[in-house]
This record gives sequence, C-alpha cells and structure tokens, in this order.
Amino acid sequence: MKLIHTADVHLGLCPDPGYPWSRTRASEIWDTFRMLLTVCREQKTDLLLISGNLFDRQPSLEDLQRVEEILNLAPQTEVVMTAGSADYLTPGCPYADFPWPDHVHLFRTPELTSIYLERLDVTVHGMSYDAPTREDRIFESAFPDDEGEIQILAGYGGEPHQAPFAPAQLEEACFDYAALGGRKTFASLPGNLYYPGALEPLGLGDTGPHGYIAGEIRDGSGSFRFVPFSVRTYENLKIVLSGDLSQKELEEKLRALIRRRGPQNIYRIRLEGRHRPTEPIDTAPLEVLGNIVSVEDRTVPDYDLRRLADAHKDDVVGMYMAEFARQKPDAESRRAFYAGLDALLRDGRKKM
Amino acid sequence: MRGAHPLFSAHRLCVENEIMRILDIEMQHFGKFVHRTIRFSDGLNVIYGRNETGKSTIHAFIRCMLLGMKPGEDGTENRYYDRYFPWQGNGQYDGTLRMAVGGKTYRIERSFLRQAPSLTVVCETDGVRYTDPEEKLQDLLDGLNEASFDNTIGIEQLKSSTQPEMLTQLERYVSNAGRTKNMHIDMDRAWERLTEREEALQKSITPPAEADFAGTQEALSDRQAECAQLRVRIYQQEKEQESLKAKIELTKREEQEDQLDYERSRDDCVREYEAARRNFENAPDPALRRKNLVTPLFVVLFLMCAGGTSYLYFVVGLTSQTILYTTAGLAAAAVLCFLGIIAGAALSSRNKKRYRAEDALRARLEAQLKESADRYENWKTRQPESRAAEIEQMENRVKELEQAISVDRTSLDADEKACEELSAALQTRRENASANAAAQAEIASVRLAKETLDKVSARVKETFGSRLCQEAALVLSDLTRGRYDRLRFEENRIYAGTDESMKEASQLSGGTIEQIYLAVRIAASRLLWQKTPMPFIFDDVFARYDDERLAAAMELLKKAGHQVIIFSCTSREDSLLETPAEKQ
Repeated sequence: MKLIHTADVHLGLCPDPGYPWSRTRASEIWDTFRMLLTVCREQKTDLLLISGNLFDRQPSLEDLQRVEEILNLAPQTEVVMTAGSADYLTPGCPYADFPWPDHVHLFRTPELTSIYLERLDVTVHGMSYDAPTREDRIFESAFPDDEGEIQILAGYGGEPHQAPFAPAQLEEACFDYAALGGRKTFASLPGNLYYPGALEPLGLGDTGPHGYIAGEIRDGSGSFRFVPFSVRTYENLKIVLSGDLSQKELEEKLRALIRRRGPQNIYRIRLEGRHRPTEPIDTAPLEVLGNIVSVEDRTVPDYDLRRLADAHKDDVVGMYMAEFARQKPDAESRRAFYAGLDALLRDGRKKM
Repeated sequence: MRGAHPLFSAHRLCVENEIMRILDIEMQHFGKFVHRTIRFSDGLNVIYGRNETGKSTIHAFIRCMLLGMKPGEDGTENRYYDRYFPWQGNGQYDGTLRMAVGGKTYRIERSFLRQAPSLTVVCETDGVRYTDPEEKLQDLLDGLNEASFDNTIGIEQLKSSTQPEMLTQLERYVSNAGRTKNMHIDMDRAWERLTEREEALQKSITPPAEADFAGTQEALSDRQAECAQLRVRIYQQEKEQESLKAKIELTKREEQEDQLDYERSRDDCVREYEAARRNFENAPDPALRRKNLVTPLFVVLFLMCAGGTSYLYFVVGLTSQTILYTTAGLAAAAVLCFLGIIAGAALSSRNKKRYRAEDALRARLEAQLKESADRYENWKTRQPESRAAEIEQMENRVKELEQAISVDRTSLDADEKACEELSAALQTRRENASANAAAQAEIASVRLAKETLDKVSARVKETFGSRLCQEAALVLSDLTRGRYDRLRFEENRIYAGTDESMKEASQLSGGTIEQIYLAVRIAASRLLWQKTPMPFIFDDVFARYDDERLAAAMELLKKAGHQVIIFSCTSREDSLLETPAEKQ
C-alpha cells in the first residue's frame, strides 16, 4: 500500500509579515498542497495522512470548500485527517460540520477512535484536538486492533503541552506506521514514528529542506523516505572575506552565490573575515541582491597586527595591543580590541 | 652632577646619522621676506635681532613649511595665512625648505596661496620626486603635527611672567605630556569616538516596554481564540439563517397551496350548487301537473251508462229493440267507460308513480341543492389560517441574524486585523530583542575597549611621567650646575631638589621654574622623538635668564645631539658660541 504523510501545512498562514515575499509565500503554501494532491493522483497513492494543522487557524467555509476541491483532485486516494493545535475542532465549528466526500475522513473527537478503510484493509487510529493544548498522554493508550491488516496511528503531538508521550511506549505498541505532526522539520523515531515537518517552511529560522514523507507498506514491512517538496527554503549563508575584497567584488560574490544556491530561496547572510581598514562594508546594497532577511557584518579591519605592534611598540597603541594579548580571546574582547584600535588609529590620528 | 650627560652622549652616539636637521630655508614670498635664504648648521644656530625684525616670521615659516597651512579643525582659517601674507608677493606666497633625514637630503617646496596651494617633496639624494608628497612628508616627519610641534619642537618661554601662572603652565605641561607617549595619537579623540559609539548604540536599544515579548504572544493567542469563537458563531448563525430561509419559502409555498385549494374547493362548491340548482329547476314542475279529470268523467259516464244500462235492463227491460240497442250501447258505453276508467286508473296510477318518482327526484334535488348550499356555507367558514404571522416571525429572526452576523463579521475583521498586527509586532519584537542583544554585546565591547585604553594610558602616564621626570632631572642638573638634580611630579605638584631635600616648586623662583620648564621640554622631546630626533627651535626663551643660567644652558645645548635654532633679541647667546651666528 502506498502512502504519503504530511502535517503542519498551515493553509492560510501569511509568513514573515512585513517582508516583501510574505503574500507570495501565503499562496505558495496553498499551491504546494495542491501539487501534493496532484502527486497523489499521478502516483496512484492509496492513502494520504494529514496529521494535524492542515490549517493555520480554524477554517472558514470557504477554506473548507477550497480544500475539498483540492482533495477531489485525487478521488482514488483515501485521505485521513486530524485536527491539531491550530485548527482544533470546537462544537458547532464548520470544520467538524463539513460534509466531506466519501474518500475523505476526519477524526472528530478528542478521544482515540479508529477508521477502517475496507478497500485498503487499513485501520487508522487517531484523534483531533478540541483546544490549542492538551496535556493528557493520549498516545500512550493507543494500540492496534485486529480489524485491518495494516495498523496506522495518526495525530498531532509529542511536544510538551501537546499530547506528550514516551517514545518507547509508542514503539512498543508496534504500529505499522505512526503518522505524527507537530515538529517543524522532518524527524523519525524508532518504531516507525515519523514527523514529516512542515510542507513549506513557515517563517524565518525554518532553515533546511521541507517536504513530505512517502512510503510503502507491503507484507508487514514498510519503507519510508523524506521527499523535499517546498518551493523555497530558508538558508543561512556565511561569507568569509579576505582582507582585500572591495565592496563591488563582495556584491558580485554574493550575487553569484545566491544565483548558485537558488535565487528563489530566502537568505540570512553573515559576513566574517577581514575588510580593508579604511573601507568598512556597506551592507545596504547587499540587502537588495535577493530575498535577504538581514546581512550581519562581523568582519574586522585587516590590520597587519604584527607590523602595527612593531611600529607602536613604545606607545599607547602598542601597549593597548599588548594588553589584549594578555586577555582571553573571546568574541567580546576581540570586538573590543578592534573598536579601540580603530578609534586610536583612525580617529585619533590627526593628519597634516 | 656635572659633566657629560649619559643621556645626551649616549643618544649622540646612536642617533648621529638619524637626527632630522634643517639645512636651509628660502623664503621666496613670505611676510616681509622676498627671496631670503638662511642656512643652518648642524649644531647650535643663533638668529638674533631686535623685535619686529622678523624672527617670529622665520619661526612661522619653518612651522608652515613642515606642517602646511591648513584651516583649523573647528573651521577657523589658519591663523598664519593672513598674518604672513607677503607684502610684496606679486601674487605669490611660497618658499622652500631643505632638510636632512635619515642620511638623505630632502627638499620641500610649498605654495601657500589659498586658491592654488601646492606641495612638492623631492629626495635630492636619490633624485626622486614623490607622487604623494603629503604622505611622504608625514612619513619623514614621523607624523609630526601642530600639537606636537608646539609642544616639543617649538619652545617658547613660559607665557606668563608671574611665578604662580608659570607654575600652572608647567604643571599642565608635565601632566599632559605624560598622557600619550606618541603625541600623534590624540587619546581624547579616540576616547570621544568610542563614547559616541557607545551612546549611539545605547540609543538604538529599544526600551524594554516595547520589547515585551511574552505579553504580545499572550495577546495574540487570546485574539486568535476570539477569532475562532467568532467564526464558529458566524457559521452557526449562517446555518440557522439558511434553514430559516428555506422554512420561510416552504411556509409561503404551503400557504399559497392552501389558498389555491381553498379557492378550488370554492369553485367546486359553486359549480355543484349551480348544477344542483339547474337540475332542480329543470325538474318537472308539479305545478304543471294536470289534474286527472278524465277518470272521474269516465266514472260518471260509466255510472251513467251502467246505471242507464242497469235501469234499462232491469227496470225497463229489454222490450224494444231500441231499448236493446240503447241498452247495448249504454252497456258498451259502460264497458268503454269501464275500460276508460281502467285505462284512466292505469294511467293515473302510472302518473302517480311518475309523480312520486318526480317528487322523490325533486326532493332529492332539493336536498342536493340544500346540501351544496350548506357546503358553500361551510366552505366560507373554512378559510385557511393566514401564516403571515409565522412567516413574519421567521423573517424577523432572519433579519436579527443578519444583524448579528454583520456585527460579528465586523468584529471578526477587526480581530483578524489585530491578529495580523500582533503577529507583525511579535516579529518586530523578536527582531528588536536580537538587535538589542547585539547592541548590548557591542556596548560591552566598546566599554571594554575604553577600560583597556584607560588602563593603558594611566600606565603610560605613570611610566612616562616618571621617565620624563628622570630625564628632565638630568637636564635640570646640568642647567643648574647640579643645584637641582631630582624632579618629582606628584598629584599635580612639582617637586625639585636634591637627594637630601626636595622643595615644592611654588617655593622656587621664577627663574628656576623656567629652567625646570626648559628641562622638561627638552626631556619630553628626547623621549618622544626617539626615532627621528627633531631640531629644537627656541623662540626668545632665554630673555629672562641671568648670565649664569644662560651660560649653563648654552653649554648644555652645545653638547646636545640635536640641531638647535635659537631666536633671540640679544646677542648674549651668540657671544657664548664659538661660531658666529646670523645677525638680522
């Protein structure tokens, strides 16, 4: 049986408010979900598991209709969904009320229940949230039954205040697959416990690949793999400058780097190394070379410290430098060293 | 201690080749001078002349040739420019200075004109003209600037003539001289810059109230919960609305149908009534029934005939044929009448039957008529109840819901907007928090830099200060021929004396203070210009010296390894030299 597992899609979220790519990201989240269903159709996936937080918040009727239309793109795929900490079900809410088509199944109660899919001979055990948090260790009372040949557990949790559980207990329960949700990036635990991570990265700091889990369960054993699927990723780039890189050369280097790593991705840049002593780096023109969150300049001026120490061995500068040689070389004293040195050499020197 | 100074002779040995000496100057257009050349020798030079003969002009010339005539740092014009603008310049304002540094000869050519300043530096030894004269000159002069020139090279006498003020100036000099060994580097400025940076960073820190993260997070969660509730409520209300609207439709339709039924049955009634009435009216009218007079007639006739016959037969008897025939006829007639009676009776009974049937029919029709009349009456009372009230109630409820939904939607919009804003604020706060952290780290670094600078500079001051006093003491000893050979600077006070007794400077004479000043100046120069010992330029320093002191000073200077240029009003210094000096 072929399955695809996703969670934490957060349809409706507008990531990184205030940044230029914010609205685009919001529609990309919908588009990628739609593409996932296209994959289900084309690959003839038997079962799609969505373990929580499909929506970023309780969905409206329009949201549900939109999702219904997307799920109908693959009517041959059985879809099993649970509600998570963000799109939890409250009495009378549209999500619980909605008349899903036959191939879509939603767990509607916070207690564990099971859904038997006859065509696939699969039983899925699961529950949905009815509040943003839950402290009960519901997963620890989940066990397979003898109805379906394949036994799957689905649900959102495993973090503090969100249905925590002891992984060993869940491993002992011996489900063929545990489709969990609630972590931002892919993780797997022993006993076929899997978190697919968010389908699309949800904001700054969500670095690394994002996608879904594809797997197959056949004759009692399963193989599962992570499939990167997101349109963009967030990355942290570090550029180490040698002391003679000019501002223009740096801009060119960054431009080329972004081109190579993917101009669609969103970057946080850190500059390290040395810059020319009289030409501090201007980060403003760097920030428009791509989707850049920030450029942090950690470079220091490229003083030839040995020559300086020599030239100033008898004066304040020399003594200042010697004083720092005595101190421990941590980040703070390094910054202090250059700050004082700069002040003495550049600002202190009165030119003729 | 008398005799050779270890300080000077040692220096002499090792720096002979390296001292900087001014070889000659040519004042082409400067002040009152036009194309005036003065040559200097390696050792002592005395230029004497009365006041106003141009000594300060020459001093200024040397200064301006070495340092240039840049406008002051606070934006004021260079104070020399106007003062020494050539009297007869022909629009020129320039000069040349030749010096020896590090064993090589250099020529400096300058034009001071504001609109066309220029500088040329040439190494005559190597035959090189420098493309970057400013930098080369800086290099040659070891970074000499106005401050260090005035503080070390150009030595004037103490400006004030009163002893306390002289002392103050002396104390200030000693205090400042010790602050940085290398006077190129202005500690104050460096310190200021660091402080500026610290303040700018401090300003960039968002105050904690604005950086409150947890509060915003909580507010956001609350709002989100509100939004969720509102959404559910709106959904429920819309559901109710829809079902009500459907019910209203249904009720309206039912009402319509009921009304139609009612009217249809009315029509039926009317039709029935009409039909019944028509039938009734078409029924044969009993009034039209003829009374049956025939049978009674026949009865009478029969009776007559029968009577007649019987009379004739019985009474009269059949006596004659006529009577026979009459009797027969009467009998026949009687029979006929009898037949007629029977026929009439039959007819009459048939009629009776008919009339009975007709009556029954009539009765039935009448009954039917009555019935349909009744039904009509009935119908009138069975008017369907108006459901308008029910419908109105439902429609009111729909309107109510509409209102409620609209209010809720507005609230939801506002809440959603608030959520967006809170989300953005959260983001900003997160960024502020990290920016703040970075700024705090920077501030810590800057403070550490300042602390270190302070520590180092204090140490320099200490060591330099004490070294200065040591060296100055040596010079002083020579100047005073051993009367004072110890110098101490403590808590801004100067003490001079010998091993046995030290006196506070305030107790010393003005003349002695001047000597101390000279000693300190010379010692400072020696300590600061160790790499490239600079010439001393004394501007009317010894005017107040008495002869003895003057002799001591001249002797000292003669033995110094530096070039010395003395400007003086008198020829006293000159007479103490062996070589003749320039006379103005």
